[in-house]
Amino acid sequence: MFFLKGLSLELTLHPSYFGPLMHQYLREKLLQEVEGTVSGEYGYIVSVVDGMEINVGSGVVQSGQGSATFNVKYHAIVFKPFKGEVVDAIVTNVNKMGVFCDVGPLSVFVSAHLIPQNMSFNPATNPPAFVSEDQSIEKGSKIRVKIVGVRADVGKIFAIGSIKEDFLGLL
Amino acid sequence: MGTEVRLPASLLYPIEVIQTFGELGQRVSKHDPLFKFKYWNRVADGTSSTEEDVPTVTKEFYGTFESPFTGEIAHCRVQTGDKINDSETIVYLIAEGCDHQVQYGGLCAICGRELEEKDYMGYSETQRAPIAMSHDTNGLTVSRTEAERLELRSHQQLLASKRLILVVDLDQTVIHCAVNPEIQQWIRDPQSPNHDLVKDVKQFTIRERAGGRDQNCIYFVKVRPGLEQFLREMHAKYEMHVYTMATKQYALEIAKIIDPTGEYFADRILSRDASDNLVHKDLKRLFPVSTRMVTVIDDRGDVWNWSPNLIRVMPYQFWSGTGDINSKFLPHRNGLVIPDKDPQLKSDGELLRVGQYLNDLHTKFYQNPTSADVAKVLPAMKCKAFKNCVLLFSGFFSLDTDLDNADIVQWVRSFGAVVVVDFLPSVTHVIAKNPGTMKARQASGHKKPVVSIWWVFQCLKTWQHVDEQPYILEVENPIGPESSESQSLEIEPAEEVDSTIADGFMRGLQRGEVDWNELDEELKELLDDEDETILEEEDSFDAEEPDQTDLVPNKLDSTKAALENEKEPTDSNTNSKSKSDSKSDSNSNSDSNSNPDSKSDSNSDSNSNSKSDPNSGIEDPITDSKQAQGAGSLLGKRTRSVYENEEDEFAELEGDWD
Repeated sequence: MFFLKGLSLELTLHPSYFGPLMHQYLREKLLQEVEGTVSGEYGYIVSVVDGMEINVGSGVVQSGQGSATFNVKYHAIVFKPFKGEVVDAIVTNVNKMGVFCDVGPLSVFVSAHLIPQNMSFNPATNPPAFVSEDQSIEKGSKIRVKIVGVRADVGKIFAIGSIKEDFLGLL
Repeated sequence: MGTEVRLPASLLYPIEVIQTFGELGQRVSKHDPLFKFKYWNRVADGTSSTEEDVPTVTKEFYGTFESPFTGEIAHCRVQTGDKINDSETIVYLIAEGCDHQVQYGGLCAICGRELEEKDYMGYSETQRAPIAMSHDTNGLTVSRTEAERLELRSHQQLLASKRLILVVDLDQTVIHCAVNPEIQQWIRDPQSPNHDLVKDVKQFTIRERAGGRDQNCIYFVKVRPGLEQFLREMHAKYEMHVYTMATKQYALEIAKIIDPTGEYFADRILSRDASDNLVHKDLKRLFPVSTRMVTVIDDRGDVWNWSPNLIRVMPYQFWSGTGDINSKFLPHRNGLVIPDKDPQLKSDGELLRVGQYLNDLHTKFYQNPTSADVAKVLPAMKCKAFKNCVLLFSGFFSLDTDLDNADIVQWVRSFGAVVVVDFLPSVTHVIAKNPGTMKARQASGHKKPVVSIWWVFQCLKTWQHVDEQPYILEVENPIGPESSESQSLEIEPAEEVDSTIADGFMRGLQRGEVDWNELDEELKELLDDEDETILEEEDSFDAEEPDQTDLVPNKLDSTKAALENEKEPTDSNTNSKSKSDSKSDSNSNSDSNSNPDSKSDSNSDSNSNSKSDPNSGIEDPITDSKQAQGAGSLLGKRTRSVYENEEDEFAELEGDWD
């Protein structure tokens, strides 16, 4: 699910950057440091919303160093997957154990156990696919998946999906 | 039905159950107590003050065993008063909603629950699915039961479509890859003498870190002749997988070249990145339960531990001087006997042949598809080559080489041969590097055929017992049975023992009740035990001859031999040797006349031998330039030699091409 979330980050700036462009430096540094990262608490930080105010505040010079620390407040669009959430995904890999699919930055594994019984893995097709009489899930297919489990690791979120319910599966 | 609960191995056994909690059908959460027990341990009794000698007493302790997971008690196997002696005993069966047989990134892929790596009881839920059987490193693991289920299903599908599984190695098996930038110029410049040779070479670039910085590395890929046809034919009968020690990126690029549409290999590519082991390949990595429908083609046997499912192919060597560019992690091979210039390269029909063997294998397997096992069918097919053969190699290894590690020995063993370290009457063939060795002379005296290594390679190539006649080496000064006995008595009193054992062995052989492996072991042990000096003595015998004979080509054609005789500083011994050689050569030539195949073989053989022979005395600029080059820069050599002796060399190279 997507959220607009107010966040903050401590940035340290070298004295050589103090000057008229300081705010721009801080802004660039912020975007570099947070966009595309992932945390267990907020999920993926998809984009810092530029139109809204990025509040740099006033920096505090570190004693004995000369560089300044800023507590930068900003708003960002975050994507956090939840258990029970239904998402649309693109299949990236199919093997006999199940299907891997991507929901943006999130990779979801749909085990063969959570694929309807009438679909079975066929290794002979090119590319390999889970096929039923009228459907085929292969690399590149778009599927609707219900997330049944999520776990955040360092820099990565793992998720388990299911298409074994009504209205799920191939789109 | 439920999940079996065993006790942790860390407990001090035996333990005695003193109280059980929970009834059948009762729901228990994780860490709810299941039973209490007592155990005994020796502890210091606290009376002594010195540190070395602490008196101990056995004391009774109490502990509680907690349920390792949530579920319903389906069965209780322990009662108050029971003694449990080990961690193998199943104490409870607990029915869970899900037993987490498939796991992905620390999650159960079936119920979606987060699984703990390890709790304070030492119980790890991730241990329930220890097998990673997919081709890539995606963090997907399954349990043994699940692996069995998956394999059973894939076997059913294969049986239904009448196919088997073929695991294919890349480097030097189906392609040969080089990184020399000079090749780029040959491809670009139509004037280059090598242009014709390399114009269909494919190339790709991989950005990789070398020496601390990123750089583009261009790979030049020569596809083995006949590969396309091979893959097309095999596709109908085999599900093909790639298993390579190269990086993932490299493997994918190669796959793009040999299989652009992905119809042969699809995603079934296992690379070094996903391999558990950098020095060995194991079929269990992909097929953890059963390999009965799996066969492998690879140019190296040692990395597979000479698996019975392996078909070892002759390595494909297009870029001379460049070996397998991805083998730097692999162990060095001992006792490797690879011909300097393999005549098979003249027209590399290896894939065609291997294709035939694979077709045969497929046919044989599907004569009895329900119970046949490739690991039995394949060796049975191969064993035709050296059935009932006892081989003795002479002049190929240094004396301290362990035969079990020698590449060629393992190779012929996989074709049913027995290899011995010393001459015994039971030996059927002596493979000699040159006909003057002690072993060759002994064998000749016992009227055993002394053959060149080409006979062995011919057998390994054709999977047939090839007629020895064209490969027989003529031996001077044979040591007959009598003289051998008298001679060996001087140096080796234990010979008698040997021959009695060997006689018994021969009787066993005639009755056809010989356990080859066991006997081989026995013989080796016996011979290893014997006095070292004997081996040394023999060494000196071996060493006497080679200077004159070692490098004289076996099948040098007579004109060249004559030339050589003239130029060679006259040593009567050498002369007579060379003459005898040229004699044997004319023999083989007359033989090969009837057989066009072997003719071309022997021709190229003599060609290469004479060129690589530094002692031949024939002035040969190519030889010189060849020798001046280091192994790495052989490509450069190729250009040069083309300029210097265009006709000859070109003809040879063009041969490679077909």
